[in-house]
Amino acid sequence: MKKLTTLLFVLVFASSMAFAQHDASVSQSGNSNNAMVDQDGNKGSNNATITQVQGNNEATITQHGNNPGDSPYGSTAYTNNVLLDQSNGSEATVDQTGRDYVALEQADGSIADINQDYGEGHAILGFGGEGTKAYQENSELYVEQQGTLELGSTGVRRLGSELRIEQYGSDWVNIKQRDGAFAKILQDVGANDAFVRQDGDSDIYLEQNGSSGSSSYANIDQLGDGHSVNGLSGSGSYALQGGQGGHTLNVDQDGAFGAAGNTAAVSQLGWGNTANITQTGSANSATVSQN
Amino acid sequence: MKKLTTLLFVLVFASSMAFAQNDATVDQSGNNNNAAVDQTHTSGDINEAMVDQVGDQNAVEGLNQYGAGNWYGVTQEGNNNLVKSHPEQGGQGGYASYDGYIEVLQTNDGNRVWDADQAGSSNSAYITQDGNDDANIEAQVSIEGSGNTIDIDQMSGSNAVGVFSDNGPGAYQEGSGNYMDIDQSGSAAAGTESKMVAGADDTFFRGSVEDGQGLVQVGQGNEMFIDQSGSSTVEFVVQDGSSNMTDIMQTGNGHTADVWQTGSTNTATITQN
Repeated sequence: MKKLTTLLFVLVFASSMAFAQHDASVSQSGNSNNAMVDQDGNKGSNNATITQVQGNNEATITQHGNNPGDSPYGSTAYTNNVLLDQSNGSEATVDQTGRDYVALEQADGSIADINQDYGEGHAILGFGGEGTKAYQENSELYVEQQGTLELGSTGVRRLGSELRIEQYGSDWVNIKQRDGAFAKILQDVGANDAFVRQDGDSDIYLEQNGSSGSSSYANIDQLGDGHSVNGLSGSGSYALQGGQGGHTLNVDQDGAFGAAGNTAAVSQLGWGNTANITQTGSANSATVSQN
Repeated sequence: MKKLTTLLFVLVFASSMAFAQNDATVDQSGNNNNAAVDQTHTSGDINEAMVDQVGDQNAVEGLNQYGAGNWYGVTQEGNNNLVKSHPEQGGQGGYASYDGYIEVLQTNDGNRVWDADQAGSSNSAYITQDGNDDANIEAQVSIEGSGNTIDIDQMSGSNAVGVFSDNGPGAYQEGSGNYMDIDQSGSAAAGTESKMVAGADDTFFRGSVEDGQGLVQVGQGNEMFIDQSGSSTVEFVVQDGSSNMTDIMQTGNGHTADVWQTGSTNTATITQN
């Protein structure tokens, strides 16, 4: 799956090359290296590839200046693309404005901070395809995404964010998303923590699979209506905390009265689990399964 | 009184939290909300679930708790709220419940408890309602143990224990040393209807005795206390076994009471004044 994802990303990356205005590639072998890429353009895509072999390296990528409003939906849409591969104990900072893609892979003890913000009025973040995907081991990930609403001839179109995360080991993720966001989080093995804040009509799919002697923690805040908290495809409709137990899951959904309502379905396996669901508004549904 | 009741409820819940193993809490504020909890892990001791709903037309459904010392609390503050099919401790999967608690607190009018089931011993079911409400506890069944408790308090308005629902009317206890206490004020009724439910277990619904389930205790040494004030009725009370006791106290005017006992050394006392 990982290879396929990477391949798809490379294809997207390669297809944008033909229209690329900026291309940057850094390959570093050794320890304690530092790579910085700053791309700023208005009429083309920005492409940055950083590969850092061995440990304790740093990468900073800034991509600004694309105005997705020029052509946000067509095949020639300009994009910001980051392909980042790091080894142990590395740090990555990505700051993007526009139609953004990040494919990230980090090994043990790494930290990534991704900030994706929209351009003036017509931002599409992590739009289509695989969207943004991060693969980490025993690492920390900070992501902040902000979508926007576009008023078109057929009404309001929600241009949301999309985030897919796979973390293996004892990991930590902190996500903030706005306006029609989608987050899919798999944290496998170890003691994992997930903090998610979503505004607007957003959904989250969460699965935390602990291992012996470890427990997971998830805190999900959703503000507005039409939210849902679910499990990953193949693991049922419940946000799942597996393993031997000792998990904590908090869901806070703050909707409106008379609106469509929010849905929270959570499942915890094992013993010593705690689930708290707080819902405000009308027509909400809460289901807790502790088995 | 309402605040005191709520405070006591919270204190009981908070004190029991310290021993919680699997712990689920659902808070819902608004109308037309729905909550469901399922706790079936059995290797430990205690499952705890708390559902708190504020608003109208809210519903709680589908609780399963296996093992001992489980606690399930529901508070519904508003109108036309419902606890439906159904809180259940023990029974399914061959797991008995010991020292289990089911507590339901409903305030305002038109609230209903369709059913609550506990299978095992030393289980307790408490229902407190304030307004024009009705409650049913389909079954507390103790095959080998004893000492289950049903305690239903209904205050103000026209309340009833035993209005027909999808899960049948009334309250049922089977075993020995069981205790049923029903306190009602206002225009109240206990054992209101006696109907069979299609496909229901004839044992619980006493089809061979009274064509349905009213207020029923089967076994030995069971006690039933019913205290009503205002114009009230007690119908369809059945005790089947030995050394059972029924005590009905009705104060005010316009009362009716009917008790049916079969077996030996049973006692029935009806006081109307």
